[in-house]
Amino acid sequence: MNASEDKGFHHAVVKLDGNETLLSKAQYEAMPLKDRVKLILSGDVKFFDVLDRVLPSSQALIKSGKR
Amino acid sequence: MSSLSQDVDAVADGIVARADQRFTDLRNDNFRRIDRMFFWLLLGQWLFGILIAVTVSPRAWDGTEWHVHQHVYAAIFLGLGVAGLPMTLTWLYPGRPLTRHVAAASQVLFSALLIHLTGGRIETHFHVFGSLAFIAFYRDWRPLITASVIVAADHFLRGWFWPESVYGVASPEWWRFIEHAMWVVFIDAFLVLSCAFGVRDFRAMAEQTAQVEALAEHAIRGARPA
Repeated sequence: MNASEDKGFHHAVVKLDGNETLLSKAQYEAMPLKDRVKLILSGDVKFFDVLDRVLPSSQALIKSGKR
Repeated sequence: MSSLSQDVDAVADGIVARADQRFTDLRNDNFRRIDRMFFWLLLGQWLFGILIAVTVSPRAWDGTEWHVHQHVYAAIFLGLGVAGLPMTLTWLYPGRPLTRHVAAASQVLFSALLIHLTGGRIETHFHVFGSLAFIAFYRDWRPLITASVIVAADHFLRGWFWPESVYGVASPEWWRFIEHAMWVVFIDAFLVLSCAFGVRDFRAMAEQTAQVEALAEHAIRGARPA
């Protein structure tokens, strides 16, 4: 396991109002929980590691959170 | 709004509500756990105070006559008075705000009692810092304030009326209680911060679970036949 995987995702691409927007991890986590949950429910979010590789959502979210 | 987005909205509302409840449950579970720890800590300190009194000054002499030293009575009855109410509250009403404040107040009063029993030894004053650290286990900054106010008031009042009891000398500088209080403020600054971090961890755990729950819901919806 490398350092980027250990810290969870690095950034996320979300679909807001039909447009794809890149958000840093901090920006994503600053969104209200309900908005994040809605993005996940509708499949409108993808998570990426520091090397811009897509991460499985389960892996990205298990290691997320403002700690 | 389409029926699909209305459905997503309703499911999201449910997940967020459960996350809020999970956050509250995590905090309350922690409050109850620390209350239970305080029950045993207070009981242990009461017994320890008696042991100290019996070991250090069990008898007072008046010529060839002796009687049990007042410290022994103080350790038994004052100690019981200090520990009795919080032990009852932590046993019967764990998790309530009042229980936390009474336990915090009692904990630093035990520090005061131990300082008195050891004749104002400066080393025993370190018990205050241990007490504050333990109170911070609640991850709630408010009982720390209660405890700190009591420490400052105790140092001021005993320093004024009975300085040997708190500083071990008869005539300390009038401002010594301020010096002690400032050290309490110093450690409080870090402990309050640690409480804030603790609450943030609880929130992060609740939100993390909510997002994983949403992910599972999304997977179930995707697997459903159209």
